[in-house]
Amino acid sequence: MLAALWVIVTATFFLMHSIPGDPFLSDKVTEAIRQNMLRKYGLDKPLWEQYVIYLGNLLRGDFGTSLKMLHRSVNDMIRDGFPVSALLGLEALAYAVTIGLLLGTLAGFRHNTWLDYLAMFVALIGISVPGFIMGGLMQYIIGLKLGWLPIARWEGFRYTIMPAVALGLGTLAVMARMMRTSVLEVTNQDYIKTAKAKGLSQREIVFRHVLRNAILPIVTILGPLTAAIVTGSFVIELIFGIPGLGKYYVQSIFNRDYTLILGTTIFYAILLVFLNFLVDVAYGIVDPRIRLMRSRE
Amino acid sequence: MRRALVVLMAALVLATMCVGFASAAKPLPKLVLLSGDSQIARLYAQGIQEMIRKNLGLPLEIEAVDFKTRLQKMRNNDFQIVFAGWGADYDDPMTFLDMWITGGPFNDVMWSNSSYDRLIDVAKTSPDEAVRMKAMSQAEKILIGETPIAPLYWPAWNFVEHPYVKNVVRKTVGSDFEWKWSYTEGRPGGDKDQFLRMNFGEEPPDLDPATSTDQVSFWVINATYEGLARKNPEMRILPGSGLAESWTVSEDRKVYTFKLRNAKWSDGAPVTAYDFEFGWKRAIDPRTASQYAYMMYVVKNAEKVNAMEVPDDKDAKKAEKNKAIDDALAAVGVKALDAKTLRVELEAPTPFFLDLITFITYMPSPRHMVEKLGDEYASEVDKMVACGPFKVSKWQHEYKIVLEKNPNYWDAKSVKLQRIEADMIKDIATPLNMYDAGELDLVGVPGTYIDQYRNKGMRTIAEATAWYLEFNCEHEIFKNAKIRRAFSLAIDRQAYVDYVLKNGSLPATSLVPPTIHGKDGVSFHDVYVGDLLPKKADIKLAKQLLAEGLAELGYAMP
Repeated sequence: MLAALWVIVTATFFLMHSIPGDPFLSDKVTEAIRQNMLRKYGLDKPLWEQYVIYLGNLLRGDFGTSLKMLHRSVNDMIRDGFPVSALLGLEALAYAVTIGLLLGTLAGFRHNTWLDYLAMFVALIGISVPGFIMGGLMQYIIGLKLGWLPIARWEGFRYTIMPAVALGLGTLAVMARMMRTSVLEVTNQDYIKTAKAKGLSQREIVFRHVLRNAILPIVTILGPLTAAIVTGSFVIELIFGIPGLGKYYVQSIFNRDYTLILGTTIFYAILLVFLNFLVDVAYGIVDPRIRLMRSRE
Repeated sequence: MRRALVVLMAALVLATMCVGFASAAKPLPKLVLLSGDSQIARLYAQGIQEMIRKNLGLPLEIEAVDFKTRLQKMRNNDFQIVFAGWGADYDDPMTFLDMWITGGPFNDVMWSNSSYDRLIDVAKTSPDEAVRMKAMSQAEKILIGETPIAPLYWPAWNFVEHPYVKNVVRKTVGSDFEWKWSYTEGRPGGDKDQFLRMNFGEEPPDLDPATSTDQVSFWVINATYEGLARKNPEMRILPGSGLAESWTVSEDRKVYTFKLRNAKWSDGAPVTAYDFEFGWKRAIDPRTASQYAYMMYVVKNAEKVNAMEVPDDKDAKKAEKNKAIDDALAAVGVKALDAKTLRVELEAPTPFFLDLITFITYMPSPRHMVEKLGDEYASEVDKMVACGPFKVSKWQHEYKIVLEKNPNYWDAKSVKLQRIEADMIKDIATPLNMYDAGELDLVGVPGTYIDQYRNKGMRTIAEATAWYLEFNCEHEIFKNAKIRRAFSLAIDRQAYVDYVLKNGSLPATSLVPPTIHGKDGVSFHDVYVGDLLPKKADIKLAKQLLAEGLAELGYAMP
């Protein structure tokens, strides 16, 4: 895991320095002053030396100072931004997974009925309409025309509803479609027939045999999906004026804000690795065959 | 006799043709226009591409790259033609003209003209405004004639504000906004609470006046600090309008002596001439590494000190080099004679110096705070003080900033507004929706929304900015002035602003925008320069110049 992180840090470090320009290049900086600024922030040193210094600081948990917001440390920016993105992401994830699984399951069991068609129609919209279009549309209709919810800002639960819905829509659709396929596949398996033959109640078949097996592939993608959604969608945070982490991923590259590029990338990598670990644990819970404890027995 | 002449001429023509064929003109290389990679930037570049194709019959490729890549390519002289712009730093034509002198720090086109250099030198050193205006207008004529750059348009600023918003002054130079005299009258819900809600669009990156460089920070600093003078709503600079009560100027116009008024920082400490000296020297000190230090170069010795070498941490001669900088700083032409008197000596008589003292970099630094906090100064609400009409009272990074009336401001009685609340929403549609819903009091209208807001009381003001094409004067094709001029004349500027930009921009018939003032407050462009370029394309002349230029270089006309 540490080796993976090291590869990510190293690759990011050298790749970002290979993009033309630097944090202090602007249309209004003279070459002499720019060189002076590069020197002040240690960017005039040979690349390998900068790399060694950066790794040293990183080991102490110091991401350094942003090179765009010269008064702010990257640690502070992540500390302030992540909880916001996480809250928004978890909210989006919670509703998307719940409703997505519900729709998918219903569609699977009521295959080729109006319920199936309706669920898949919703899923189709979710997949084909990007979150920012849905967000903009909701802002205009629900926020401006109907005045039910605030158009933007981040002041309390009411403010989280529209962005969470917009952010989770794609996930909801993916969940619903995967779950439907999964349920359809599982219901055709022999062990379900066996269960029926054993005379188990419909309820028991659905919960103990179908759902438990059908949910496995979904658990697999839940890790990366959570990381992606929790670090926030750049666009959703942008249009709703949410002070999250998402925008840094894009802005830092545009600004050549080296420390922020590295800081956010490393943070994301750690989050991803951690969530994948959680998925492995969850796997064990859902699927006894994978449980490590059992295999030892 | 006549027949002989005809035969001779025919022979001559034949000979020329033979020579032409014999030397087999080189094929034209690929021509590339470097532009930004945003949707808008691509669209603007395509407008140029189309006009060059239609009016000159030349294929022009577009290379769209991101902002910093474009700048780096410009600095490296790695371009043929590039789309570029410049906004005024101060209200004098010089801010657009001195960048094109030979070897100038922003002269990416590698153009050099000794007459031009001489005229700029005259305008920079002469105390006589009439002489300066003449020199600068002549210089601009040379510039446009030789066409290292082809001005395209002067952009406009479109905005809407609710009718109850009064006296929000929009400036074209320095900070865009001035709220000192703003108030509301007739706001639904009453005017008892005097406040404004607006969208800043992003986090102000740096609220330290000595190092700040961006517009959003400028808005806040202009509201929370004050220089020796403050521009009035008519953009005039009068004694007593800022922290200086009055000033005197020496005979040779090189020494200014400012008399400061009684004023306090928001924490109660007095604002002194020492704070000005400290602040200016901090900006000039190369160890501060302030980007806008070059704005201080008119002050005596400032440029010299700013160019000094800053020692590394491991430098063996560190102490020595630091001392050299300290000593040199002492010789910089700004000195507090006592707490109330500031003496400023300039390199040359600089008629626009009084405009510069309203610029952000010329604001005072609270010495008692900065020496305590160092680089942390201005990083949080409790780590900064104000000496202007407002102070920062709440700052939620990347989300919201609130400015509150500063009761310690010397002219607090003129300030009616109690509060300015600003969001930092980067999206362009959201703030418009918020404005329509009454959640924002004023908002800028981006290009794509102009038609929608034109009937909603949208106003347009001209900016002090120019956009132009830069030609690389060392490129094998564009080293030829005739070809450059052909490109410039092939552009139909009127059609370009009417059908491509569609945002109220004006066709640039010279470089310096009409908003920049010349002598006695008149428009430099209107009175001293006039239209140096036609608004419509001059296709005939352009084609002729192109043919001549290509022939001179030995290239075939495609």
